[in-house]
Amino acid sequence: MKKYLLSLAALTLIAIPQVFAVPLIKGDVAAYRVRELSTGMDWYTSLPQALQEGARTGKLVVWIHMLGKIDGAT
Amino acid sequence: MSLSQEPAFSVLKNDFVTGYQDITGESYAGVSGVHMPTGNAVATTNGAGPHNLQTFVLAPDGTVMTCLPGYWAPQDLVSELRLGQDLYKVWTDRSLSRADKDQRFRYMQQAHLRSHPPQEARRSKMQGFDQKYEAKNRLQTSDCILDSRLASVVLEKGMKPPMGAFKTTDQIMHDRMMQRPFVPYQQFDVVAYTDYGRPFYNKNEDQRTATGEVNKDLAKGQPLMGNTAQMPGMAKRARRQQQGQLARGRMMNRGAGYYARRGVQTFVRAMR
Repeated sequence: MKKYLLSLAALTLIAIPQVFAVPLIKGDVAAYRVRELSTGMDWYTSLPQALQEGARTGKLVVWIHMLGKIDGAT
Repeated sequence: MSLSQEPAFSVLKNDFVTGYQDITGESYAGVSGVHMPTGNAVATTNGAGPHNLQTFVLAPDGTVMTCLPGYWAPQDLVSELRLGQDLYKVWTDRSLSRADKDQRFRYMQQAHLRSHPPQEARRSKMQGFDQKYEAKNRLQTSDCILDSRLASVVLEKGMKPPMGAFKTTDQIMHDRMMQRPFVPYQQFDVVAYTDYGRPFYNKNEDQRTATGEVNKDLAKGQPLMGNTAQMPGMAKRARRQQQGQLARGRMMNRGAGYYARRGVQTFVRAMR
């Protein structure tokens, strides 16, 4: 019984930090995703031009306000 | 990060025109740690960081169909983008009067919120530091607080708010959008719309250990971006960073002097 409780306590100590840890996306994966995003579609930096393209294609415009650049530091 | 993940990536690429603007220096912009494209990333909750990121869905005439404050999970983002497309059908319906359109806008925002699955509500829990900010600064007036008595619990050290104290961020978003039917982008009050939680949002992605915990020493020295001048405590932080640099410089000079007196020139140059 004592052995069982000790094993349980050890398992808890190992498992709890993993359960509550923030899932981290590693830098190389994040860099790949940023590259896919910034090169996989056109990104307008002029709102009038984006709206003009929306009118031409009949699509809505997703216009993002962000700190930084889509392919740079954010 | 959610933009590059499916289903958001394909929907954005195929069904929308995409664009962005850097809001550094705008009055409504918040503050964030500088995050390089090659740095680590973390997933967060819906609506986190509303001052630093806003996603507008605009009609080609510049009318705002919807606006998402902060980060949103890819599947939830897509659901809101689809709402934007449905609202556009209402906006361009010539058989409806402006009053009818506004009424439908409010109804559809409300109905969309009711259709959110419980998992989305869980993903939309307001960040703890934002809850504290709301409770501390506007306990009686915040539209993010459902019950001020319950919300005040977060002000006690180590305490978490009970259920029903705060709105979820998806509720805050739809409630606020309901008050802004078909507003032209140029007239959209971004300041008021994104005003919840503290202006400083940072997940310290590059200052974490392998298990995901923040290394506080590294986090303190992290460079910031956005409206840093307006951030409370920023002057103190800059002073602390400057003092740290001076102290490091003094230590290096002291070390360099010691070796220089003993004729170790290469080391002196390397230190400088």
